[in-house]
Amino acid sequence: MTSYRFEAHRDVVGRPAAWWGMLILIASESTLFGCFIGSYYYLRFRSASWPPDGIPEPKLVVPLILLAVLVSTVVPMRLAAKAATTGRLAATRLFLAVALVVQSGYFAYEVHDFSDQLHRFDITRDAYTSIYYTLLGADHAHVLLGVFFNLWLLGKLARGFTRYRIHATRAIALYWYAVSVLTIVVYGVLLSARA
Amino acid sequence: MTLRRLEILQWMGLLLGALAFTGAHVVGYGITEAQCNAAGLRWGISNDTWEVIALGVSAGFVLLSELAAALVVARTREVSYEDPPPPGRVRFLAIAAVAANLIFLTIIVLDALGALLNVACRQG
Repeated sequence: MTSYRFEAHRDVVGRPAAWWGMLILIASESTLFGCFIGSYYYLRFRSASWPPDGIPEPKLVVPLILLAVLVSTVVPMRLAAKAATTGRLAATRLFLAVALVVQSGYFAYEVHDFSDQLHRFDITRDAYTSIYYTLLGADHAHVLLGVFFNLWLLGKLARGFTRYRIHATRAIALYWYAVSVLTIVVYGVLLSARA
Repeated sequence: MTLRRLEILQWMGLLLGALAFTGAHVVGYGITEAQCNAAGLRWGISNDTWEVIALGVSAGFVLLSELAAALVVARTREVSYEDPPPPGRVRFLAIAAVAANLIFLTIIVLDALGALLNVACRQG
């Protein structure tokens, strides 16, 4: 069996493996959320009232403002990825730090709100609360993972650029684009209970 | 083998298994719904027969997908997955496909076993 020889193709065409690896992670996480969302509507269409009696409809204004705040961090993440690709270290760090501050603020408020809601209606109360907290909690977990990614990346960038770190910046930016889209979808599903 | 052919095999290895799993899962759900709902009763669909057929077809596609990915991994053994694209990417995604297809196969088998061994048309 003959193997493919790398020497024949020295031109770099396309995205790095880190970017593709992140895309696979996003695809698998999207499948997970697809299953959650499928379960949500399966339960909804088998319930006479949704949300069940005694549970208030999800709030509208505050979640939408928070969503806008989180989605706005796509801009600094995009700029950080672009700065990294063009070798501008200080700009990359700055954009990452700006994104990290906003994302951490979003996460802190969401954890507070999540905990507050848990005190008002428990996760084991009924099918609605189970799927509501599962969807919301899974989304928050993905935001937390992104915050950790940014912290880790900023730590690495404190010691300058390497090819590996530039690729990591692009991959983590891609992760945040996906988390933003995912959060829009999750909020859309949860707020659809008001319809 | 040319890089172009390896790329085609690599994408086949990466996507075919995922599509087979998705298809089997959606079709399996549809079969159960068809058997358990009043509207589907007149079709006379046998849950067990069709679940076995769905299992066989989807598992066949996943194995084909695994074979394609394994072939690419073998043919790119002189390349590192950390090498620049396209050869590095081809090897990287083929390695991912080898692992992913094994997981898809496990899910498909467990999915089918669940549908066959559990009693259909009854709330859990």
